Amino acid sequence: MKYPNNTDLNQNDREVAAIIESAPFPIAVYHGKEMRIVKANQSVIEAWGKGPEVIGKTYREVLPELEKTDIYQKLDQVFSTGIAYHVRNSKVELVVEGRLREFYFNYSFTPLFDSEGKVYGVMNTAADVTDLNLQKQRAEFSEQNFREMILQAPVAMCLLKGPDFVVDLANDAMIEIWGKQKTNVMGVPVFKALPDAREQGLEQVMEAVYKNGIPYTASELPVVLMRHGKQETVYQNFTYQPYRDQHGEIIGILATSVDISEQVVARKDREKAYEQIHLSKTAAQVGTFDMDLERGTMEWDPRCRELFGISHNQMVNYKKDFVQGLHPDDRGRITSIIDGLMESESSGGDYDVEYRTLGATDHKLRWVRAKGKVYYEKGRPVRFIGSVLDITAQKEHELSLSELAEKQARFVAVVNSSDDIIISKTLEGIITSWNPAAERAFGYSETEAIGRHISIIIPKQRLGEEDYILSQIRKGEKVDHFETVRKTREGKAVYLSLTISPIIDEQGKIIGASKIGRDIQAQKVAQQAAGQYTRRLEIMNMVMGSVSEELDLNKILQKVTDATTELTGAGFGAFFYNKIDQGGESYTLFTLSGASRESFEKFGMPRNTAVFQPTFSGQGVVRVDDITKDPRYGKNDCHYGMPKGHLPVVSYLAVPVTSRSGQVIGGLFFGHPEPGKFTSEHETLVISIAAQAAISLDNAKLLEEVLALNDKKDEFIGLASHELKTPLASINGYLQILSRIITEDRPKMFLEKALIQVGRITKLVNDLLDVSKIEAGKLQLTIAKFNLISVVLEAIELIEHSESSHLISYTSDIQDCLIEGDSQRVEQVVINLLSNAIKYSPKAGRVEVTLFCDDQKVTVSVRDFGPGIAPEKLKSIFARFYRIDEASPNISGLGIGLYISHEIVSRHGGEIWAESKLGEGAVFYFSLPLSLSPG
Amino acid sequence: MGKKVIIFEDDMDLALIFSFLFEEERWDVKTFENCDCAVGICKEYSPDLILMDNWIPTIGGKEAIRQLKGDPQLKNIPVILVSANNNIKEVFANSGADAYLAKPFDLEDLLVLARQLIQIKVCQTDLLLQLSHHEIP
Repeated sequence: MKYPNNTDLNQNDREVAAIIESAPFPIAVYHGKEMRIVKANQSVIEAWGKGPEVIGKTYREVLPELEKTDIYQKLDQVFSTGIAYHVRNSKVELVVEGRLREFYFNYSFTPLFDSEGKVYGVMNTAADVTDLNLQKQRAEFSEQNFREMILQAPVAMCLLKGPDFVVDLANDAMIEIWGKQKTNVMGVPVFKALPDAREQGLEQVMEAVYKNGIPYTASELPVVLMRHGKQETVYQNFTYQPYRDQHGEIIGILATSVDISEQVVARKDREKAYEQIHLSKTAAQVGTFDMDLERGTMEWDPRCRELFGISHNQMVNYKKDFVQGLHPDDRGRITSIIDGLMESESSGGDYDVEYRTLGATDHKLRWVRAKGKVYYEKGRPVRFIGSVLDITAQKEHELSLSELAEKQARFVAVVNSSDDIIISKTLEGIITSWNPAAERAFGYSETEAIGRHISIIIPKQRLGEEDYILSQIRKGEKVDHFETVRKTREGKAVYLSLTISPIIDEQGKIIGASKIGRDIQAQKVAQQAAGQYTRRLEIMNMVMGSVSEELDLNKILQKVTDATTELTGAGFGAFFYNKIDQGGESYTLFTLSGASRESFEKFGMPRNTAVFQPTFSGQGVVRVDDITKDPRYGKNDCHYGMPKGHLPVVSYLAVPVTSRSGQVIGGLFFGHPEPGKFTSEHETLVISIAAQAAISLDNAKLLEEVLALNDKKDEFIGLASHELKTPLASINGYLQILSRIITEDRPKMFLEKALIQVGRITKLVNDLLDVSKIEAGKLQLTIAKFNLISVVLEAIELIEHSESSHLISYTSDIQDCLIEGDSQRVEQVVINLLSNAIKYSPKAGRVEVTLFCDDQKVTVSVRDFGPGIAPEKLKSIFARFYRIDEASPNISGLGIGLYISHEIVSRHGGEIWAESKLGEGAVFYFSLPLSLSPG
Repeated sequence: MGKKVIIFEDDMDLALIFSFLFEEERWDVKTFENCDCAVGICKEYSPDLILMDNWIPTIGGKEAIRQLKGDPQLKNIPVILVSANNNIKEVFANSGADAYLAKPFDLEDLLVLARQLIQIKVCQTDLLLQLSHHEIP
């Protein structure tokens, strides 16, 4: 073996040595099996932490600390096998500056071969990678740490890697959220592991985070998952954060999730409960109030406002809305309770009161129960919260119950202390209550009476009354002041006035009757006398009044009969009235009271019997206690007493009715089946009524006659009108036909004269009929608006047509004159005045007519130029049948024209008059109002 | 062509006078003593004018006029109410008649009245005819 010598180094060798020496990384060369260091550059010496003294020493000598490592073996191996050894990042502990330090090296042992191909040494090259290695180690540690952190995090976390979001890491909490087996999810894309989490928007969210790097946060996100085999909604607060590598590239998603399902569910439950409370609050119509005592504000919900009748929506105010809203009677009490709560905490703050409110706008009274609590902080009240409830209905019910109870108590007291008998019974007549007065009156105790039938106090013959009473009660009607007799336990009669009313239950059903009885025994006698007396007076008064007013014969008879029968207490009464008909035949009318007509009609009325004769002949009153025992009785030929079937008469009273002329016009007859019923008092009463009746009957008779006469008069007027005018019309017609046929002058002239006379008769007949009508008040006007001027002009034309002897002039300053009235009747007046003017001034040739008008009336005047009328006669000229004979001995006429004119004008509300002086002619005026005043 | 008049008058004298008057004027005259069948009679004869006495057996002129005026076929025939009643105006006012004549009467007045009523009726008929032929534009 040949070892190269240091001194033998050629140029090449020196260059190599220089490279080694200056290389920036450690290089050393060992020779021989013993690994003697022949070369070691500065770098390796530094790395070893040694000095240049290492040259010539063996590797083992220099680095004894490597004894425990396998490095010596490695060197031997390289030397003996000739195969190089490389290692990276190998930890080597070296003693540097007296201290064992850890280094990391990438190093190589390279065999050095001699010319014969034998290994003679090893070259050691190394790179100190200690810094690099430490760094890597640190990084590895933090990754581990991070994973540990995830695994041990108190919240669910997972790391999803890659675009498929493969589950790289997931802690137990997350696995729990997922509800899956850990082995089934690890290393699997998350949406494949959790297929049920798909399509809830999470993939998109996650992809967005992966793409954009913007973290995503969601709270209370409900995610539907199949957990442990069942579907559940999981509420999560979660974040997706981008997970980056050391170069900042996003390589995954870090998902953090907090399962808040429990909280959410709890909250949802709470919300539901609150909703339910709210609903029930609304249903119960509970209102709430909330006073912030520190801020001094108050809040009322709508119901609370309603209970105080507040319609506005503004803030409510303690004083204005609450205190003023309380009923004045409750205000002091409630405010002092609240003041007490505010003052000290010792009260405990509980508030539970009832009060009334008076609605602010609706003024309604409501009962309110308020319940609440005051909360204190450091002894000071800070908040006052509570609810209010409308208890009006309940309260009213309570009040009515207490009122009812009070009423009942009062009622029981009244019933017990009453002197009146008060009994109640069922509709079947079973006694249900019995007061002390009933005990005293009937002798039965309360216990004895209750449960028994009411008939124990009813006398046998009066049992029927009970049926009547109960039938009334069943109909819901009251029986008032029913005077009757009841019997005591001992059978003694008790006179009672009963008032029986139905007892009605809450449903309005009649369930029984209450009977109030008053003992009227004592009153009875006195009352009867007094009552009868007043009744008689009343009846007398009534009969006198009504009979004297009555003019209808039959009504008078009936009224008198009824009244006298009642007054005398007779079983029946009759009024026989003699009448003479138009033929002079006498007949008898009769009216009855207390008996039917049939019971009389069949017997007739014999006047000549000993019993009846004194009455019909006007001898006087017959009053007998028992007519059958009277000597006058049974003397008549036919029946010898009352005929069979006659009403039974024992007591008898007969009073003649005599007219003013002294003639007996009838008789009043009364009968009673019991004896001694009619007294002298009855006799007096009937006599006075009979006298009054006689007068009324006379009057009625007179009226009947008058009415008959009046009817006849009307009939006569109608007949006369027809009967008189029909022949006149015929004569008139024939004459006119003749005058149409005859053409010769003389006969024609005669015919015209005949016609004029017929005209006069016609006018007279018409005038007479008018007079009759005026007398009977039957002159009728047909009222309409008309032009008076036209009427006056027509009348003038008509008169001029028949009387050509006079010239009639007309003057007026107006053209039209519309008035209301009967134009034909007014024309009749004008014609009348014109005819008179012509008739009474035969020697004059003219008549002047004027018409003038003011704002209320129109006046027409007709002036003649005849002899005139003496002043003293002017007033009489409008009277019926008045004629100024001496002035006009040759002038015909009935003297009714002016009378009719006067009537017509008066009926129009106008006036008619005349002005005249003897020898100066006369002026007749009439004026009419422009419009008729109503009525 | 002569006009037709029907006279309901129970007074034979007046019936004669009326007949004479109208016949003289070349009218076709029918007279009846009672008015009970007025509607039937008038339907049979279709008169141009009717004279009706107020006081005529047995139903009376007023009732007869009511019946006539209640008949759609006859209601347009003019009716003169003839009466001796002093209140003829009132009787007339409620009768439904077209005119009245008070007894006693002037024959000339009656003729004038009759002609006027017929004239009015003719005018009415013409007017109705024109209206019925008039096309509504």
